[in-house]
Amino acid sequence: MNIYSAEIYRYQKSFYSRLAFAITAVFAVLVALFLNYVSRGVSGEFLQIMGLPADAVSLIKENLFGFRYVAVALSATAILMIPAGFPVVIHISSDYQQGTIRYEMINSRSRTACYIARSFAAGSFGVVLLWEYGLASLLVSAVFFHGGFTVSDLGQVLLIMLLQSVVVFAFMNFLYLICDLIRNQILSMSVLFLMILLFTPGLELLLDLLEIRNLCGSVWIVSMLTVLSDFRISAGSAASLMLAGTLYIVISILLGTAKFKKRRI
Amino acid sequence: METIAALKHISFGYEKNVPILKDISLEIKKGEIVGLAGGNGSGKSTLLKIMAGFISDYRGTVHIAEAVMENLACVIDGSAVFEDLSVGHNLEMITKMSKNAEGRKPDEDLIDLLDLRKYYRRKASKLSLGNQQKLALCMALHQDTALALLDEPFNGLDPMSKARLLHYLKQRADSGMSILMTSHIRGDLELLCDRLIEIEKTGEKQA
Repeated sequence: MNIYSAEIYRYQKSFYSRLAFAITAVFAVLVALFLNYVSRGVSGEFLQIMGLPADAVSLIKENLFGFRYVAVALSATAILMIPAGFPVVIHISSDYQQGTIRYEMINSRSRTACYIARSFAAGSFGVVLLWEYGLASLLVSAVFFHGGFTVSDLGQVLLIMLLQSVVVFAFMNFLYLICDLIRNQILSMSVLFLMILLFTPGLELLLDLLEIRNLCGSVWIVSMLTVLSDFRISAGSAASLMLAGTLYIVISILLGTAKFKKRRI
Repeated sequence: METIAALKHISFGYEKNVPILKDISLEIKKGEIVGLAGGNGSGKSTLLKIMAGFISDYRGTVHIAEAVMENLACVIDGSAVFEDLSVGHNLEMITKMSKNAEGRKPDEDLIDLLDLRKYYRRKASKLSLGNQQKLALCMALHQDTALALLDEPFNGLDPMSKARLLHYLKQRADSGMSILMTSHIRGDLELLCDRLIEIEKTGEKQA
């Protein structure tokens, strides 16, 4: 617990974390401006011609108000994970490079405890950024997309945020595992970009061709980050997201600790 | 005198069939200052890493009491500081990491002695090499330290700071803290240490 609270303190005070908090707030405004333009300035037919699925078009055209806007804005969570990943990548690589990991190790009960505390702290940082984004989206929705703040929608948005928190926590643990294996700032940063910007769209395209797109949405962690934006989440898909998220966390921790225990530091 | 740490027949190599340490044995008593001398690549830092538990695939036995391990301080392989945090936040971070519920405070006397207080708000990455080394020493050495493993602790320090640190370490040893330190400057070790051990690639030779 001591290492976890120290890491949380670091995420509060670090320059890069503060930068990520600022970028998240700006990002929420940019997403609102973009969606505001798309929903009011572009016709539904044009969006369909541009390749957006009919579901996504109706979502943008019909759901952009009140609490529902927050759910739509969450479709950009995968992009949000790039600024969220920056401090994690930088902290891990500098810890190994500078040797500060040793302070944490000698103050931990075991190497396993040290790894878990650090990984969970990274996960918590991602979740805090997600909630900042959610709250910022709520604020901008009051400016750009008036009305529709009903209690039933609030319940649904809170459920979506809760599920999204699990998935973001899982993603950050997975990212932590990758960065801890690579331990190099530039390579880890490249992997983060590739995972979100290149590999995921490419994978989705491939799975579209193979007509197994749904499988991708429920298996690949980056795709899971965006499946909650349709505001029609069923109990079954909520349970499967919880399960998949938990599996990602467990597997990341198991693989990470197994490697970390043997590492020469 | 009470033995704080005992190493028996330690052998280790980073690569197979290329041993760095071969059959090293040593004991450190309470309040003793032991110096490790040896050329580059002789394995001085590696031995400290083995003692601190950063390397586990060695041969031989290391015995350090749990109470001592809980109050271990180490500065190994240069100045380890959290570069994106300020000096004050670095020291606060170390306090929060403590296993003790009430928190482990860095030694205020050492902070004053090394004249670090004026840099509290400055980012650690903006400090000079010498000041980073001072910060790393302040982060490692706390009031309850039982055993300090110091790898080249005088690196980058100006003569005045070095003299102050030498005096401080001597005082701490008098009050019961054991120190195992390395330096490539033999004079520093001879000035401070009760006992000097020369490490060669083939083992240990008492000086």
